[in-house]
Amino acid sequence: MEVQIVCQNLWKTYQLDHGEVHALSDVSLQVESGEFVAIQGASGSGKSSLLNILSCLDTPTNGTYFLDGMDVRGHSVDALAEIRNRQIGFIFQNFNLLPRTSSAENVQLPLLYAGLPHKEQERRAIGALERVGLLGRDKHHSSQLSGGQQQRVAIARAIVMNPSIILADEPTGNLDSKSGAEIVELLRGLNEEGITIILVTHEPEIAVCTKRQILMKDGCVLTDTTPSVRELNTVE
Amino acid sequence: MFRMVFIMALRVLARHRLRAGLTMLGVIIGVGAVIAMVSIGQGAAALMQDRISSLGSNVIMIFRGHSMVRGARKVRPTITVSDAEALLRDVPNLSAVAYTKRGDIQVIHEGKNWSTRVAGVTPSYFEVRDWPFVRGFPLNQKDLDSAAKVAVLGHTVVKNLFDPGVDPVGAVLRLNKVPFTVIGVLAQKGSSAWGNDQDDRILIPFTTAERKVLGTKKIGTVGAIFASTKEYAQLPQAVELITAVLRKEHHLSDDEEDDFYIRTQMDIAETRQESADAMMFLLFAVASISLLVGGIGIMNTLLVSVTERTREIGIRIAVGAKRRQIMLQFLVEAAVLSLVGGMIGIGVGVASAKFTTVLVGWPTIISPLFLVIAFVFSATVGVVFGLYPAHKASRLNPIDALRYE
Repeated sequence: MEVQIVCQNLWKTYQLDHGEVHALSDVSLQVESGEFVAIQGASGSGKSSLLNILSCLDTPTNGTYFLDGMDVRGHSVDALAEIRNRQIGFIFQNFNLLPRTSSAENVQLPLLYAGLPHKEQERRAIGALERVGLLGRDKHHSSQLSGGQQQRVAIARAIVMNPSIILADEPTGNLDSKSGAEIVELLRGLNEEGITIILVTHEPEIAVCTKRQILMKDGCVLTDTTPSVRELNTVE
Repeated sequence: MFRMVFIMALRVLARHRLRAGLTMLGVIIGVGAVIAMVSIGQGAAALMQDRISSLGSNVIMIFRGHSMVRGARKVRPTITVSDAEALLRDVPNLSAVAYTKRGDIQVIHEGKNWSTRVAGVTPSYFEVRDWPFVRGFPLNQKDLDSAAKVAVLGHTVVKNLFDPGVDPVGAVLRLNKVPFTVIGVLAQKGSSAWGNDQDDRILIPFTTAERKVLGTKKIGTVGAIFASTKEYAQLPQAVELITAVLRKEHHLSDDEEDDFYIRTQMDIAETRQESADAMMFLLFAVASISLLVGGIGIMNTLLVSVTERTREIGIRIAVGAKRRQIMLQFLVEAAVLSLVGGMIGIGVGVASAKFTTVLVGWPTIISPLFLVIAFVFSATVGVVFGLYPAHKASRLNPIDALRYE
């Protein structure tokens, strides 16, 4: 398996009035292509900070992050936007769909910013909606869809650019257990197609569905079910 | 890309119709007011231009002035027929010289009575004033020499003394009980640069007026001399020469002031131009202020919109919108607001100009060039005032923006 994500000695430090706060302290991590990883931890453990850095929405204070062998450090805001657009799909706890906008148009959003022709956008958006089982719901607005369906629209938006990684932040947090299970099943299907999936969750029953679990505490990786990486962490 | 952004902008504005309307109001009022004012201003300028040129072409007018007699100001009949003859003889470049003497008079024709102004003129008067005839003929030198009792009528006089369709030529009028035969009718000229009706007058030979109608005490004095040059550019030089000749004729010493005064078409046009310039400056100020206010309105609305849509912007940035793509979205919204506002403003402006014409009777001229300028200007205002909110939106931190409630 090819190594897709390499994080070395990541630090994320916030300067506050009463001193420095380390959201991440010296985190090293490797994720191979096709992995299905769950990051767990209490709130404030640094899992969101890590996810923000992995998703290229944020940059670490110190340390390096290689995505597909490319050092992300030093990239411009627009270059990072392009990486997010082409290589990463996002799924959020609160879906983050545009209000008063149809499912199809929500799914088209990354295609719009990729500069694809309008006809191509429509075609691919319908295709992505079909993959998440929402064929025929393309004209519906988010207010007309259930929570589970809204999250499916968000997943369609995440996969429409055919990214190699999907980053999900508590994707089942706002859903009932049945819809949540369906979403996890959908993600597992996408993982089987070869997409790397990293999700942040605090629900143990979701985490056990994944192939690898990482537990974080106080900005550090506490346990990692992949021995090699745990050793990497302890050795350095 | 652009098409989609445009559609998105329209959709956002359609969703907040009232807000968009109120925002546009500033631009609408600004553009509308400026267009209405410019249309009325240009109409007035054109009317004034007409009146100035109705004077004739390259006209110089010489009026009797005040002369100082032992420190007291006194009006004296200081210009004479011989002055006019001297000008014609001594000033080159004058194509014609005419002189007149005027007075108010009652005219009677078959029981109809009209109070008007009678002017005794010389034949070249019609040439200087560039005044064509609709019927009959002008006065000639023979009429002048023989002090003939013939008259040429202005349009207003004809209208008031004759029934419609009746040819006045050949009719006999009584001016101060003296019978005159009508020999011609002048074309309509309208109001003069001073606003009085140039058509409300009767022209008779100068000699007849002085001897038989106006009852002058002193033969040979005139009310005004009218002269004209061949070229417009010759006016200033002609004025200088006329002044010199008249001062010599009047035996004025170097320390005495002129006892006459001279007005040219150029002076009137210059005065007119000055007030037109002042008017344009005022318009420019009003336009700038109102578009500034409109622009601030657009900026305010967009700032509110950026704050309201923080999360939406966060989503867009997260899925890969570049900074310029976010900026473009808000700039297009600003441009649409100001362009639609500008278009409505043009409509309102044109309508109020037309309404003014109908209501008050002021002439208005709607210049297509100015409409284009107003339109481009309002669009520019929108984009300029949209820049700051658009910039602000594009600089949002996506993590904070996504968390924004």
